[in-house]
Amino acid sequence: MQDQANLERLFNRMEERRPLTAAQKAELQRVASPPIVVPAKTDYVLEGARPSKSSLLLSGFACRYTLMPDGRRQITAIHVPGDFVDLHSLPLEVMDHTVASLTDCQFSAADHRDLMRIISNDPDLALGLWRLTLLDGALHREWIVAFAMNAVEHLAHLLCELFVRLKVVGLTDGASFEFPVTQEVLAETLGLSPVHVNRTLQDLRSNHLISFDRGRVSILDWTGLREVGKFDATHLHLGKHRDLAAMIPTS
Amino acid sequence: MPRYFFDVQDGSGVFIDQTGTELPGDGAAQEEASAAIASIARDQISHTTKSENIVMWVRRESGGALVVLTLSFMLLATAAPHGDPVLSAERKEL
Repeated sequence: MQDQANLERLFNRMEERRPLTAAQKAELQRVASPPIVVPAKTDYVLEGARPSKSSLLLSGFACRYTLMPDGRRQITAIHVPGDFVDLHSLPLEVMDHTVASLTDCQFSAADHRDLMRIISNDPDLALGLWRLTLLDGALHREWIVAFAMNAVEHLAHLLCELFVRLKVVGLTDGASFEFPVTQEVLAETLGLSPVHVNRTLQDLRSNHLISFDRGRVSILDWTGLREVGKFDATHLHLGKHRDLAAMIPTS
Repeated sequence: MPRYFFDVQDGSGVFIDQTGTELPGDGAAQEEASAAIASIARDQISHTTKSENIVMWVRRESGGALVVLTLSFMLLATAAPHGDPVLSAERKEL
């Protein structure tokens, strides 16, 4: 028998505001394929494609990106485990961006026919899936706002947001989290040059807000980092984790 | 790809690049330096109330300096020699 996909991270996300029933979880489990391994830095769903399934990220980091005419890559979203990377391809049909792995990833695929059946049979679960795509939209809106920030604010904002998103799916360890991406990836996300990113990371580090070591980011001053990043998690529509201040216990 | 290091000195101090950035060659490193100094200057200058100087040194990993870039922003306290331009008339809404 093939391995079942572990949907805990998805359930964490969906249950942040309201619980799923055991039957609903079983239904999602039924439509989720066994894990698909995708190596780092691989285009997984291409712009222009018409996917017949939607992919859920089980482990690793992935992104949505658009290639600009001069060959530069603008990353428009970073995905954490528990995120559907292209749930919108169900109603929209044609991909208007590419999905790529940033690190080694595992995905699970849900056939669009199965998802359509869920939507027709269970309005509650349909609303839950709709909600996930609305949360994607909220994240994109926040990123547009963040682009009006300066480099230090923007990077601090991104790190705060990643920390909270990873906390929701249980992938933080105290005040730190794994985020093994290169400065090029941060540059493509923030719309900065890699050298400016490098400089900006150094700023956050020398102000004792974060430290990073071999792909692990540690938040040294959660209040300070949120202040610099003007970070307010309204757009993440948190439930269980709505108390940001309590997210990292101060010792 | 060769690795280049970009040290910066600006209003907030000296930053010695310890990680470096891999780039295809000297030309790309110069372009990266120009993009970075412009982008750093935008953040430095947008809220400043004094003159600023930004200097960037680009080093090759193999040793040796590749290029030095400087960018100066001057804030002059005196009035323009031709007096205050009357802008109010032109400052109508677009």
